[in-house]
Amino acid sequence: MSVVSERSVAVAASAPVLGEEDRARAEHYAVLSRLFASAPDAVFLKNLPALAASWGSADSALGQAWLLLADAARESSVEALEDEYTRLFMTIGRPEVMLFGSFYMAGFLMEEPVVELRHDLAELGLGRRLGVTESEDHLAALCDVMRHLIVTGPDAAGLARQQLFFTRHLAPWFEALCDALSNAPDARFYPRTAALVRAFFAIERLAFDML
Amino acid sequence: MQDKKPENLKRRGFLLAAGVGSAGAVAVVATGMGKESAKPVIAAISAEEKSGSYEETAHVSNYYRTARV
Repeated sequence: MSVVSERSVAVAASAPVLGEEDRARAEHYAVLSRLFASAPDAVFLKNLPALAASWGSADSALGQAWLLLADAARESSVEALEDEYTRLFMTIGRPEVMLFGSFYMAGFLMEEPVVELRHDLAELGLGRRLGVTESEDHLAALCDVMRHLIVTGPDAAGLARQQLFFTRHLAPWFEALCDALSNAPDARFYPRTAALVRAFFAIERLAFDML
Repeated sequence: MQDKKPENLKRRGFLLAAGVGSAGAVAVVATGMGKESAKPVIAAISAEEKSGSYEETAHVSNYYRTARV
């Protein structure tokens, strides 16, 4: 094992204590990553209403988005979601909805935004897991990075890293993605994820502006 | 720590007021992130791997264990 890895083990073992809001942020990124990494399985589908019991509320955009998602989960089956996920996101050529940032930022896949992203990931000591074929600009991958940065760096330097990464790689395109999700044809579940993506990232953007 | 700066207190207050808070939700467990099918697609890599292929290292699984709040 390299020196870097050993040092990282020590860092992880003494992982910083997260505040309530940072814990919730990390958890939201985990949910968003899972929602878009692959079609929800039965366990995750069942857990979405349970999460909404904590975070759902009629009083805020985020709370309303959770209630909406819980309803969508209750009305969905694993089989239907697999079909919907495949049809919307996995079609060869031109899927109904693109989950890759470079498409929205450059108009094509794997263009300059991905080069810049890989550079930023390398600076952070991050990269694709072995066996992962999706490009690093996939929404789920970017959410994983944000979660990693939150969990490992709740201090001022860590927040600065989070802000830079979010501003460069998520802020420019999440609204366009949400529009595409909302307008996805013949879909019942994923259009109702758009509100959560939009509400949470809008909060993140505003909160980073306060730094 | 960031909590001592007034702008960060403001930020924290904003996040909590916006609904990004509340205990009880354990989303990481709920997502089944520990399972092979739902592992994060991005992982930390060690220095010598930066130039070549990527690989999950021991500290990554350690990190995700500590992260599972």
